[in-house]
Amino acid sequence: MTTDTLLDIPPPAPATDTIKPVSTWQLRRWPETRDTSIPAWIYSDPSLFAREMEVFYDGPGWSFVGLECEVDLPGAFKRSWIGQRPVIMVHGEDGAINVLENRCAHRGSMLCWENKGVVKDFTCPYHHWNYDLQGNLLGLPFFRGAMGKGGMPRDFQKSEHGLRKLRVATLGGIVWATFSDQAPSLEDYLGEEIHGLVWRATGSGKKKLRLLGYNRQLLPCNWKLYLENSRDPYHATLLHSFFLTFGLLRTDTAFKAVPTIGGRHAIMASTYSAATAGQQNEVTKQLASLKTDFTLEDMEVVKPVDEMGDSSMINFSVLPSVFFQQHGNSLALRHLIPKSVSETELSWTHYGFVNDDEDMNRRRLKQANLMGPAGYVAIDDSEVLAKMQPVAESAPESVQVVTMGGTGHVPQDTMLTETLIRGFYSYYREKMGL
Amino acid sequence: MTAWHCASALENVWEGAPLAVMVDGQAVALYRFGDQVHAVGDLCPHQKDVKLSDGYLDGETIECPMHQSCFSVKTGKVQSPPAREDIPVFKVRIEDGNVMVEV
Amino acid sequence: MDMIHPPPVDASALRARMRDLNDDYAAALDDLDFAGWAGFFTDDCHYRVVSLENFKEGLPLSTMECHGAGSLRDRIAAIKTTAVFEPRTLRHIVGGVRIVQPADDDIRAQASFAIFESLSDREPHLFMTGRYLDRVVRAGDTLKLQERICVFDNYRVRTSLVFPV
Repeated sequence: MTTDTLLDIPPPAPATDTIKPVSTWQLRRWPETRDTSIPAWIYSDPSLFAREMEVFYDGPGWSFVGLECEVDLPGAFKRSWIGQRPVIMVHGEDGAINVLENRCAHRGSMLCWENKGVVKDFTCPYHHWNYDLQGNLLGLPFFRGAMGKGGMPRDFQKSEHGLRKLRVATLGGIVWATFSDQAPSLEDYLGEEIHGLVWRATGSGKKKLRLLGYNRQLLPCNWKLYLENSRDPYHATLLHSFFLTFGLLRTDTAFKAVPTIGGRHAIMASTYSAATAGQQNEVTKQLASLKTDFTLEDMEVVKPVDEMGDSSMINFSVLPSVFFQQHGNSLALRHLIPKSVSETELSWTHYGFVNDDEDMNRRRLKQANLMGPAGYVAIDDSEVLAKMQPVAESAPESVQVVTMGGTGHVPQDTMLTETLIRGFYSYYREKMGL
Repeated sequence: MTAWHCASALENVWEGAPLAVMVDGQAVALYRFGDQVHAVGDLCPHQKDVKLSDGYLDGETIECPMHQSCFSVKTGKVQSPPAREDIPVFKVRIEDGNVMVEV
Repeated sequence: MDMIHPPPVDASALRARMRDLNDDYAAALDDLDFAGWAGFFTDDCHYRVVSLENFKEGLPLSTMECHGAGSLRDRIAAIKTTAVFEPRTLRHIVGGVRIVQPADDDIRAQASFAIFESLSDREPHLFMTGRYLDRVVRAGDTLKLQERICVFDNYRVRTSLVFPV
């Protein structure tokens, strides 16, 4: 039960007396064992998906857009997405970062078709309506008609027909935006713990981010399957035998799974200890897939340096759309971009810092081989989720059981828990009215 | 290297009506105020393929028909965006009923 | 009489040999003969699979990257022993071979590739297209890849990239 009262999602429009349109999702009922069950229809119902986009991506939450360093000159822009909506992140003339909906105010065509560039203004390819870097409509062809014919009505006000401008906030060199005027401050939306972790992940105010590059994949599954996977420490050593073999993530490290703000966000913090690496305990002995005879020739791929200075690897999921990755020295932001109920783009932005030396830079790039669409570890997730989706679609009334670690969603000191998933769905049900 | 060319007969340039001419391969527009004629570049510096003379003349200001950038036809100065550059101003002489322009 | 200087290297013969190399390379990958695949590279090789997006912008991140034959063997070992993935059949088609820089050594070559993927319960679909950018050296009678950069055209990889390109 969340104590947060700042995010009141408006209900769908009421039906009229004569016609009562009802979306399929409103007829659905969550299984009786609410806290520990997940019904499969949530992954395949298109009307529910549309409602989720309204609630979580249009609604009073903050979404990841990109990095400030991706648009470091006035006029520099980059395309991004918030939910299904395309947006443009652009460095304004005054130095502020603007986020504009990538949709012409005229007929709704996509305004900007390039991934990145530098412009003085934006001109729509269709009827050439022209906007400044803040999204104001500057001009449109034949505003006054030509040869006495055509033209816009006398009372047409350009100021009323600009691009939709989002509220923007930057934190740690990361650009966030929201469509909603009801969203609280970014700080309040993230909460104290996540706010602090974003700060830690981006150099604690002492360093400037450096873009290393992108990896993108199209996952044939519902966005929530990936979100859950990124909040599921239970599978880490079982699915990803690569981790266990090289002691990157072990069930005997000091680990904390912490849901925050009633399950909205989730933190997985692991303390890696060089002293325990290579040792086994009763837990690891039980795991069937031990592969201790597998060694890598280039061990630098799995030998991180403790750059944060706290012997910790902290990964966290920020609703709705971004996962902060710290795997060894591979730092990345994983951006979830839902395309449809059964397709999600996962876009990885790998970064380092401007003052990284050659060794650190090399480590980051090498260790990136564990991540992304060809990742030694990440392939497993993509493949499993791709095979879950058709099964969920075939049996929408089936119910998953998530009772590992208990039935509530409190912080727990173990990887053997689904508390973060239970927490997310507690939050989800409340915001969705399910 | 500039030279004087005949742009138009004076009687063809009317007050309140921009006249588009080509002078030595350049697009120029002539604007008449009483007995004075001003000559400025006719292509909008914003997108370069639009004639300002097809736009809206309001006193001494010409508004581009494409995106409504405004320029002074006397000084060439840009007055409102999206254009950011001024338009060139050319010297004018009236000689024997002809408008001579130096380009 | 004009002096006709023959080119220092027979470019068309070289091109034919690169076509053969590419056909054999494609066959090795189709057969999942990874040891054979690694055999096309020199010991000090550089192998990189990178999106056009990163390549055009000069960004250093790769989707797969190996430095040296040992690193190639690591990639193979990870695929064979730890990765979890749906069984599939791949079909590599390589064409458009060009010799950009004919030389005795440090030959630069390019080719286009297309990979069709048939998942365990699906029909073939086009998985990836792109270009190979090669630095090729002579090793006795054979040609070896000192560097192969596979720049793929896809904006996104379809689900996952399991096998080398």
